[in-house]
Amino acid sequence: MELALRAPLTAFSLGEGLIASLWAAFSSLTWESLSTEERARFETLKIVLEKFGTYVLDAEEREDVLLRVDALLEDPTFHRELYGHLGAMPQSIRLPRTLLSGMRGDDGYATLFGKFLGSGAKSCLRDVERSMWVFRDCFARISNTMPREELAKASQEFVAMCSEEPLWFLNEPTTPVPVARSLLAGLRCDVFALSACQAVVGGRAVEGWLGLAIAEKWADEAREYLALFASIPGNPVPLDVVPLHKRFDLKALEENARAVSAAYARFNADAERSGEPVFPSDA
Amino acid sequence: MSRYFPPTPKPQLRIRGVALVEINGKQRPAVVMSIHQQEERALVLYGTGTERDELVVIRVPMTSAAGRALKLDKPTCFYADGLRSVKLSHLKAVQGQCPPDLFMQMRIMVEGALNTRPTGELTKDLAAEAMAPPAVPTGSHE
Repeated sequence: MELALRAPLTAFSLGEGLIASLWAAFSSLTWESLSTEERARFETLKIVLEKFGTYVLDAEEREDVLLRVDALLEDPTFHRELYGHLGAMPQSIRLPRTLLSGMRGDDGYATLFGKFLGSGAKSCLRDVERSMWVFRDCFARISNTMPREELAKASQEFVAMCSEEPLWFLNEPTTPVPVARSLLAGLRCDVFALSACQAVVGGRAVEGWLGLAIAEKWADEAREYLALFASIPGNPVPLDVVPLHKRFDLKALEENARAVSAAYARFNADAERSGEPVFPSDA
Repeated sequence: MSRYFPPTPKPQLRIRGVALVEINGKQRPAVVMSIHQQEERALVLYGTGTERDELVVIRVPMTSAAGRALKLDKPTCFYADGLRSVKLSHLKAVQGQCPPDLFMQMRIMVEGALNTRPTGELTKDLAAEAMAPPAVPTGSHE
């Protein structure tokens, strides 16, 4: 469970890293400061956005939205291409802290994405933005307590594993289901952010039902992801964002995970001893 | 730019994959929960069309998104006592993959049963002990 807990702190960020990269790229001041190579990387990122974001924006009904999001997450190519490109983004391309502070409360997400996801989506977009700020506060705290190299290494390991076996953490009995659920939510948020960015970059206003479906699920998954952060003592996650009953007892979950692994081992051992090809047999 | 289409997973014995296992003379669809290469066995949760009201159940309608993902040919019920340890040679991998939300529901049910019951006593009603599964668009479930 250790990797599963450490990695998502940097592996994904409710799509904020993606949004920040694009926001900066489309700011003329920043674009002019980029080298030719850096501009080429952004152009490649736009191609990746179009490829995967359009797939989600082509959803035909509400249920189809999450199906398409999960279909992307099940594809190793998606992880390699998206996170590979994000990882190659120039480190200098981050929203400056002063700009970020000014954005707090400025309704940035609703303003930017609301134009393309529809006015009905704005309320949920505000929820997403609030969750993003809560995430950043948690990340700032965690960054102060963990060495940068350790964070980066955990992130790289997590993404590398997803590139080989997508959603590997779902399969591990040592990763408790509530933690796996949160990790999945974090990845889903990146896909929702990607789709919203593609709507903006592609200049494509989507139908109202689709924009609302994306924004609603994005807001829901953002809170699911934050439940993991809220469960780590000391992280500043307000109760109206993640109520008490949604927070986990990580120690108890870890103990339970060990008990589950032992139970699986016992079951297998019993099966081996029986020698039956299907155990327990129904004879 | 050419449109993106997600790849179709090939039939392969893997966790969250679907396999057929013979139970009581019938081939049943089963979701692979874990694989133990050393013992050449896998833990699977098989499904049945039989309704048993007294047990906690995960129902997957054939026409639901999850049912289509599992390539079910009829409405299928998964119960905790459907957990089996099967020799890999007795499993036939087929098309289909268990969606993440459904798999987590199955893990909750199976892990709750394994943790609290000795092997062979998985038929007791686990309603009091199972965590409430998250809402998932697979159709009705209890």
